[in-house]
Amino acid sequence: MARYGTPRLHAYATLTVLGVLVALASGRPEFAALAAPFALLLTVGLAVSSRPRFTIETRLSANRVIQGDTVTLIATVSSPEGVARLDLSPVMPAGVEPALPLVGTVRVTPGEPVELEFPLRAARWGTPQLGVFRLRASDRFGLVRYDSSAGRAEPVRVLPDAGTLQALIHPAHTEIFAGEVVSRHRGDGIEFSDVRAFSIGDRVRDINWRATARAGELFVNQRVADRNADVVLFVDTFNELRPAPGMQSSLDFAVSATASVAAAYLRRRDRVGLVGWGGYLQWVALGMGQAALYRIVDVLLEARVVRSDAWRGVRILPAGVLPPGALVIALTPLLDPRMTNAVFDLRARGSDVAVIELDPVAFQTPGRRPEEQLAFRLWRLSRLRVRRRLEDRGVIVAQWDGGRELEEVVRELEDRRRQYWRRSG
Amino acid sequence: MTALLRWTTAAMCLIIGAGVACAPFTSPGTDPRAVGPAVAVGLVGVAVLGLGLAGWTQAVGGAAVLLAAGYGISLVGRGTRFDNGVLVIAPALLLVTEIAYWSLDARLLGAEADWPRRAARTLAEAAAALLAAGGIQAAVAVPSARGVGLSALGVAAAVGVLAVADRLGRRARAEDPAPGR
Repeated sequence: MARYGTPRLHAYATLTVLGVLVALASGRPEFAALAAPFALLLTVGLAVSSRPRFTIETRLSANRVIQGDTVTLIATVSSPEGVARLDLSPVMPAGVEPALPLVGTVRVTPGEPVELEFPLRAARWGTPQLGVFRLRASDRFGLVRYDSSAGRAEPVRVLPDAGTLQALIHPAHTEIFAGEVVSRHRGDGIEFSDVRAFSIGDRVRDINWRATARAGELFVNQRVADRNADVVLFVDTFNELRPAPGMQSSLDFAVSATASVAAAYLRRRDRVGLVGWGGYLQWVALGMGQAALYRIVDVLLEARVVRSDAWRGVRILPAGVLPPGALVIALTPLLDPRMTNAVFDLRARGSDVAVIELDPVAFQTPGRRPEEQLAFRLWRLSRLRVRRRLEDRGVIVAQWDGGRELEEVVRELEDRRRQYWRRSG
Repeated sequence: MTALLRWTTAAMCLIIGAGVACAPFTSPGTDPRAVGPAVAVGLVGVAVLGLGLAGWTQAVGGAAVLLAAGYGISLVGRGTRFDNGVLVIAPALLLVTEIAYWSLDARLLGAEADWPRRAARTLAEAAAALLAAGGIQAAVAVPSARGVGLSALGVAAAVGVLAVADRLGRRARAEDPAPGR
């Protein structure tokens, strides 16, 4: 606990010394009389000043919140001897903002614990540690202050806001389990597909009476099967672009979009997996339901950019993480060649790949000098070339700069995929 | 509530500060040539006090020095005669600085339920201590002082100072004793 003199102590000491010196120099006792009250207060104040003793207990109103929600940090201060004045200020980890003024000031009387609440807004997903306070205790006369820190850090899981995404990318392949995706295969679904001649074993309720009456022989309706799909979310954690300190980064957008997309697919009973492709590798095997969503979000919360120069290909991923026929949705700024190559490799292995490009151009400024602006244009052209190469291989890329809704981006991606399929037959 | 308290204390502080700054006008025996500069320096002190009350805490000490300097200037040309006005000026000066610091700490005061009672009690004690301290100074410092009355005043002031210091010390120890005591 560090001990400091307050401005009051400095002011009173200065006045006392000045008063005495001027009194001695001028021979006028009035100056000493002026200094006397300050000297008296200093003497008494410093005589009774002592190091404060107190305990602080902290707790959180919730240990799991959604991004943007408020979590209340509650501090209970007690002291066996009392504290004349205690200022508490919670240590704010990155991604947490105070919802109200950050400093709480209390007087603690002996035997009467004081409770203070600090509403904090979880501005960014992650697992920030809350519960440590910077403390400043003052003595009774406000002459000496004691600075320290106390409390116990507790992690709070700030889950990215999954939103309610309605539009989804339609997978090229479906799986064998029942779901809500209209399959290309015929089966016991709801959607009408075709009519064909009756054959032995067909159910009577499938007979299309109108076609039968017209043709003079039995015809039955055919339907397409409603199946589920495998979706793998492929998140690029090689790079993170942030336009300015305190603003959302490309990784923030990627994480919130991944959570939204995963929640939307899981709602319609698809199996969803995750691959964090970056300096260190993370994955979540395909799963269904709320448990899968929690697993994905838990891994997403640990997502961060770790610098690595190791070259790696998608072959290092376990087979179960990237099953054949799965729809792979890559969320990437397409900056690192390892990520771009991974997308090409996935496509070459026959995966159905779609890319939501977290447009890095939106996070960069072209510069002022002509040569900087030329370099910027060349960089944009090189990026355009990468996109063209991907689209030539059937990987549709939709750009997202965070300025528009994810829903809109997903719809655009789906429309362009449909157009591509129509063109390519 | 806190804002009202802060404004009230700040206004009180400035009024008392202005009173201290203008004291040379009312003080008998002040050289008329010294009154102008004394009041001017005192008013500069009040202006600096305003800065301190606006949040620049360090300025409060500077304001007290300027107010004291203004009073000191008014003593020029007075001769060796002791100015009894210091018995009022000194407590007022301490009152100005204390209220200024209270005003800056209004957040704490406003958070307490019984702040008016505490403030009144502290003010009363401080005023008593200051008057007693001034009395001691007067009794000790006036070289030409004669008579039983003035000596009795000095003794009473000394006893008063000790009593108030003892009381303040006891209460502070009860609320905030040193570890191991």
